[in-house]
Parts: sequence; C-alpha cells; structure tokens
Amino acid sequence: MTDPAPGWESILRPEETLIWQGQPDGSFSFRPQGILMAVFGFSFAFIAVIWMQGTMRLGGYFWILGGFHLAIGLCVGLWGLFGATFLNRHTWYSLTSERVFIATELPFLGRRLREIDLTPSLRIDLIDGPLPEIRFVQEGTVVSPANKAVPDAFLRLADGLRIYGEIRKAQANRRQSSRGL
Amino acid sequence: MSATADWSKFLTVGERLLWEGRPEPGFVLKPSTVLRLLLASFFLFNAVLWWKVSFAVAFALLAGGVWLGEKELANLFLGGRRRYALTTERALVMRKRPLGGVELQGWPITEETIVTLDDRQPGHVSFGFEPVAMKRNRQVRAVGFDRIRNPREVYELIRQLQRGEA
Repeated sequence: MTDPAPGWESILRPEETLIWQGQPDGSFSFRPQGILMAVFGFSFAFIAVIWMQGTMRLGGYFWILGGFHLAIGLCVGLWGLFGATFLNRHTWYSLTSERVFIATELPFLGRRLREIDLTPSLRIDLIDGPLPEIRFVQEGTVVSPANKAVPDAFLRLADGLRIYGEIRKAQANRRQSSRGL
Repeated sequence: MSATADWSKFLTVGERLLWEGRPEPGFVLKPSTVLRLLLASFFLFNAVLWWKVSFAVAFALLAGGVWLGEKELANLFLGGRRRYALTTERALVMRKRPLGGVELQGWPITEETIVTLDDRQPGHVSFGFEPVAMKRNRQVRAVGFDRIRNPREVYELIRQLQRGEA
C-alpha cells in the first residue's frame, strides 16, 4: 500500500511508509480462556436462577436480588463466547517500514492505537496453522502476550506467512540501518 | 515431526541456516519437578477419595491436580519434540502445539543478547529470558536450546554471529 489512509500522515515518521493494512479474520472463534470464562459465567447465571426460583417460593420481591447475579453471569458467559470474535472485528493492523500498529475501536473505550517498534531485539513469534498468528514479544516483558484482551499480536491472518515475511524484512532493514549509523 | 524440520518457509531473503538440532532424548528430573508432580498426584489421589462423597469437591481436586502437573508432564514427554535452529539473524525454536499448528519462536541475536553456555553432554545454550510462572515480576529464567549434543559449538557460532563474523 503506497497511499496512506487519511489521518496517517501525522502518525508516520518521515520516510516511514505503510506496507500492509488488514484485519483479523472475523469469523466466529474463541480462545481457550474464553471457554473457561463462558463455563464460569453460565454456571454463575444458572446458580442465580436456582436461587431466584427458591427465593420466589418465599413470596415477596426478595428474589429480584438474584437478577444482578444472573445478569453478571450472562454477561461474563456471553463475553467468553463471543468476546474474541467481537474484538477481532473491531481490530485493525498496520505494518510500516519501522513499526507495527494495532488499532481498536470499541464502545465506551473509543479508538486506541498501539505501536510496537520493530527494533532489532524484538522477538517475533509465529503460530503457523490455517490462520497464522504473529506475536511480538518485547524484551523484559513480564505479561504473557496471550493474556491481554487485545494482545501484542496479529491474530488470525488470512495470508500470515507472507505478512510474517514482510515484518521480518522490515526488521532486517531496521537492523541494517542501525548498523550503518 | 521428522528428525529435521522444514525451516525454509520461515526464513527471509538473505537469511541462512547455520545450525539445526534437537534435544537429546531423555530427561533430568529436577527437584522442583518431582515436588510438583508429587503434589499433583496427591491432589489426584484425594480426588479419587472424594469421588463417592461429593462430585463437586472431587472435580475441583482433579482440576487442581491437572493444573499443577500438566506443564511439567508436557515438558517431560513433549519437550523432546522441539526443534532448534540458528540462522544468521536469530535463534529459532519450533514446537508442535497440542491443538494443531506449529509455534515458531524467533529470538533475535544482536550484539547485546546475553548468551550463556552450560557445557555438558547434553548441555544448554541460552539467549533469552522468560518470566517464571507465578513469579512474573520477580524472577526470570534463561531460555534457549535445551539438552543439545554440542553446546560449545553452538555457543561459539552465536558469539561469532554477535561479532559479525558469520
């Protein structure tokens, strides 16, 4: 891509060019943590329903209190099931000659842009499969990248191997230019 | 996975393979591993005892036991399936993922990379650090090529690479 989308002029450094922009595959998917979350959330909601049923027999409106737990359980369960897909559909990735950008647009949180500098010491991992994933692990990172809601990674890429190659090329160029200094 | 892996599709233009290898078969039982596995089997034993009394408690104990032992067991039995390679730019660690797919770690080798050598047969060469699980903010562990046959040779290769001689 040679013509940057409007708005990118102020973000890019001089002589930095956009190489690729794309989104993770938006079809339904979930992460292992999501399954745990869904199981927990729905059991929480189920227990709330049982409690409400029991309390309803006592008469009065005390049973309504269980509604909070039911709502929370349903929210946690549904997020566990559909959260990953929702996040994927609201995430945009960009690769420039110097950096990698992860942009999200989420309700209440608004637009967020995270940048990862393709320094020579940046560790780049590839999870190869039908929809490859590329992870960026910065030196001294203590948080596992997989545990963030929006990880420092390019998830579910349709042509991941090619993009992996492009990223590695950009990093190699950075390395060469830093040696030249 | 065969003895030698296919690295070519992961390499970029101008990147050459300098060395490739795999962990030697077998394992060393570290005291921490033994302790962990003992604790895990204690949990599982209790899960069996509780099975008739309360299914919920038994399930919790089972889950706890699996959680405690799963990593260590996977390391012991699947650790040997890792494949290692050193290229002109980075150190590669490839492993099969339990749910399909291949994970390829690419540790860059720069002049600043801290490289360590454990010169035994089989020995270790490390080129990176990873936080220790459960002590993420306090402790790191050296990671690299584990249980390789010729650690000094690989170490020298990495040092040459860092000096720009490879």
